Amino acid sequence: MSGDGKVSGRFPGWGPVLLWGYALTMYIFLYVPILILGIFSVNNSAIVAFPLSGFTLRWYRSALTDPVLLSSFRQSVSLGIVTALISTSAALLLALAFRHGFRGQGVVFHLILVPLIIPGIVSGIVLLVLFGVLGIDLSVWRTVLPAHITYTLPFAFLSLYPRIHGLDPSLEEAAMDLGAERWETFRRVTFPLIRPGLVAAGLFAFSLSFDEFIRTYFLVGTQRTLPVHVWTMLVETLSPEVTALAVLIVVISVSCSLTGFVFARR
Amino acid sequence: MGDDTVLFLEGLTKTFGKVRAVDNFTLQVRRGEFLSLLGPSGCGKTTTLRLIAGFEGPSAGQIILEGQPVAAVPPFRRNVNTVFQQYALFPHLTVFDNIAFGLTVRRLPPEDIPRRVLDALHMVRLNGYEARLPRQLSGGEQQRVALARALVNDPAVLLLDEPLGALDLQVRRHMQMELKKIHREVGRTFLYVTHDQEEAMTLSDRIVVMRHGRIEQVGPPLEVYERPATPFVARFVGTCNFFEGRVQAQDGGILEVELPSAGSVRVPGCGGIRTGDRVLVGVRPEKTCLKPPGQVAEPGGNSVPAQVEEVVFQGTVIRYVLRGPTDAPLEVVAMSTLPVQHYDGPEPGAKVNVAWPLRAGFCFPAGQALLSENVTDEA
Amino acid sequence: MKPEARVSAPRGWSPALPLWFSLTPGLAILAAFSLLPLVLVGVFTFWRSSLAGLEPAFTLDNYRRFLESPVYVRLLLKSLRTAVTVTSLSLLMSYPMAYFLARILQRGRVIGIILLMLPFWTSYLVRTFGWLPILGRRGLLNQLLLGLGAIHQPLDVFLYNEFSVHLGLLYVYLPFMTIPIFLSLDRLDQTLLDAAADLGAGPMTTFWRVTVPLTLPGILGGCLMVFLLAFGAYVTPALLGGPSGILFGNLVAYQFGPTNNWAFGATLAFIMLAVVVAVLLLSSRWVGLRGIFLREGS
Repeated sequence: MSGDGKVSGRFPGWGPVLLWGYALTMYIFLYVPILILGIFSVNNSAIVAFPLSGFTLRWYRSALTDPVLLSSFRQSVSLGIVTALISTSAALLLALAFRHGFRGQGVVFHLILVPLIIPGIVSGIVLLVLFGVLGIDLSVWRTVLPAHITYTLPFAFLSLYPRIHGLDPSLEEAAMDLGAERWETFRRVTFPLIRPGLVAAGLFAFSLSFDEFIRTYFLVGTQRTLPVHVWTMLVETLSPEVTALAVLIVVISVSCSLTGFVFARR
Repeated sequence: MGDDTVLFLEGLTKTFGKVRAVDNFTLQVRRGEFLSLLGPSGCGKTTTLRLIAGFEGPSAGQIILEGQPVAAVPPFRRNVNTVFQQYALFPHLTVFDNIAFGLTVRRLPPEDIPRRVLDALHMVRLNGYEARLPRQLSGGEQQRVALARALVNDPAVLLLDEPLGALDLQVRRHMQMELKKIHREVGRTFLYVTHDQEEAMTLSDRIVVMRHGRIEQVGPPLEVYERPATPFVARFVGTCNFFEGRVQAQDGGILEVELPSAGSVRVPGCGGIRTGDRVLVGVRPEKTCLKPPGQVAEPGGNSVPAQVEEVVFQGTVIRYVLRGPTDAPLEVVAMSTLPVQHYDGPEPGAKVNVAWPLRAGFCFPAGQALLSENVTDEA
Repeated sequence: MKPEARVSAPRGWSPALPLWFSLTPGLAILAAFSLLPLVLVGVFTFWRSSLAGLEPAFTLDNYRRFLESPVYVRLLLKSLRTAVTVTSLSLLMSYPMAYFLARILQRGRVIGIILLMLPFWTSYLVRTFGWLPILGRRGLLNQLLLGLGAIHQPLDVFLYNEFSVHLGLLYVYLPFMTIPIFLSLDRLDQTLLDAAADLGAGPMTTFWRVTVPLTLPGILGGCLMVFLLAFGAYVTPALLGGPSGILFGNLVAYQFGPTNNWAFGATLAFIMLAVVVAVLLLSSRWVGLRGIFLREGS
């Protein structure tokens, strides 16, 4: 029925056509920078510049054999996994508390949102100063991990909240009515019903942590996560190796989020 | 309490903040009966059910299930089962696993479970549905699974919370008959919550009419209908015409009641009324008929002058809306005996007499009248 | 048998976890790593910098320094102005896009939405970096213009200035505007638009008097998010801005790098935080955080 100007509340006949054109332009705008990186990642030239000069996979090869890069990659993955586990569990518990309502839930809700509202640079600096004053040495596990957990917690909470809130309490009452005790009710009814949401929230938290740069930059000390490594490479030289790395990062975070998206819609 | 009492509620009270949802509720439920809690939404009937199931704890009072006080026993150890309003079937489990849920958590011998589940499915006539998921079932089928899931555990009392509320009229009528049949077959006690008086009348051995967390009347359906204990019951169970007046004389249990500007009517007396008291006289629309002015239905019967305002043809019956002597609206329902095109009854504007036999009326002390209250949607 | 009435088990058996159990872990994390540092940094603004970081004192020097040098205030104003511009442009670009997704696109709608969300799920570092080979001297843009014969020499005007910073910010934060507007348009009841048409409103009247007011929560939510993100930007101006394109965030970060003046850096961060809080308080008259974020979660 689109394209029919007589349908009420829609733009006149030429409107949809213009909007189609506009939307296509927007998609091009959104994807050109990423596609350009993809092109340069297989361009056989040591500088990232036009004109192009043939196909090569050597940038991927050198990226995937760079020991610093590989160790920062491992660092980012393990950091992301631990972050996702902790922040999703904490978010799950918080969302469960919100299900039944409690006094002061408005305050708690706003407190959960604080890390999402505060600019990343402020969060990073504020934690840096705190850890500095407390005399805690900067490292991935001591200082970056708390920052990542705090940062991903509101996202995990917000992605779990609708599913948990929409869960009919009479399902659990039915389980208890049929003889299941509290833990058994959780194990056999509540948990299976929220599992897809948990997977989605966990993947989302992982991908946020995996891509996080600014907080990490201030808190990582002399260690490296993947985004920090990319930053260092970018600031030093714009080498084609970074474009290959960028493509790998895009592939990883997109596949995580896409899987999460599929689970979230279950 | 006698041996046939399966559930005894004594002085049961539940308050939420300042609201008394259930207020000093005392009731004996007999083994094997089909008992309905009937009342408008917010009357406390669902809360009563939840107290019995154990999802709420009483603020005061006792719940005695099969001779044992259970108010402090958690729901998973009470020998009652619930059919929930929206069925609450586990969406991630098949029909089989839904029904087997109670049996497996109670650690029954695994070899017994399939037979009992299949028996339960057979009872609700859903053989062959074991592998389906709840979302693949129609509303009526989900309803049957919920019933089987509860009954398979052999509860002492089956609690049903408006189980047919979500079904459309056709399926609902059908399920009422099914429920009645299943109740007869299993011989269990059914405690049924509904706000639909017709449903309660159809299904129940006894009806408990509730209002504001209190019991208005307990009795078999016809008794509740024909001898309502309060004006509220008269209005909530069916419809009712009311006339307010003053008792002129009493004669062998018959009251003579003077109505303002409408002469007097005679009505069987109720307890505690003395000459000179103000009373409410009630009569059901289908027990009345229309007569030409001055005529009565039978010798010694009653008649009240009125004016026809509207005539509504409802298929099997004709409903007359009239204006009574004090401008109060009245209703008369008559069987539709002739095709509409041959209708020869009174037309709107006609002056008539609303007449009824002496025994058809009932009365209440006027003090308990709260007629302005809308009984159907009380919050 | 005549049981005495007694009060027993005043609480029902709900399947809920105890409240303290479900709140404690999350609240402990938030208190320790979100709230506490924000409160303490306010204290640190009165401290003095030392070689190793900070030392306790009570001085107003940090604030005095901020107010006395016009550079800092000017950069703060520039950040605010940039954020406003980026937010406005983002709104203008997003609304038609969101309208397209919610009300024009019928088949392949999920794919359209995913295509919009994919960049949002990708490292903003990488997405910012993608503009370098486009805007640079030997980048795509110059290449195209040269090829078309529009210019004869590659231009330097595309990169390392305010233009590239605006473009980069607009690009990275666009989905934060489009998605909330899309969600509010998607929830819009078609019968309301039919009703407006039925009452004689033309498409434009319907759009301005029904559609836009009803999607205002999405618009405001998107504006708030983009504004806050653009105001706090660091990566984009650092990568695309060059010396003339830097923003307040870069200045704050600078105090922890080369200048190594933690007390002043903490003060600048605290000022940034104060601006954010002020914006949130101002906007709370029109849009609550609860409304924004619980709409978005899906």
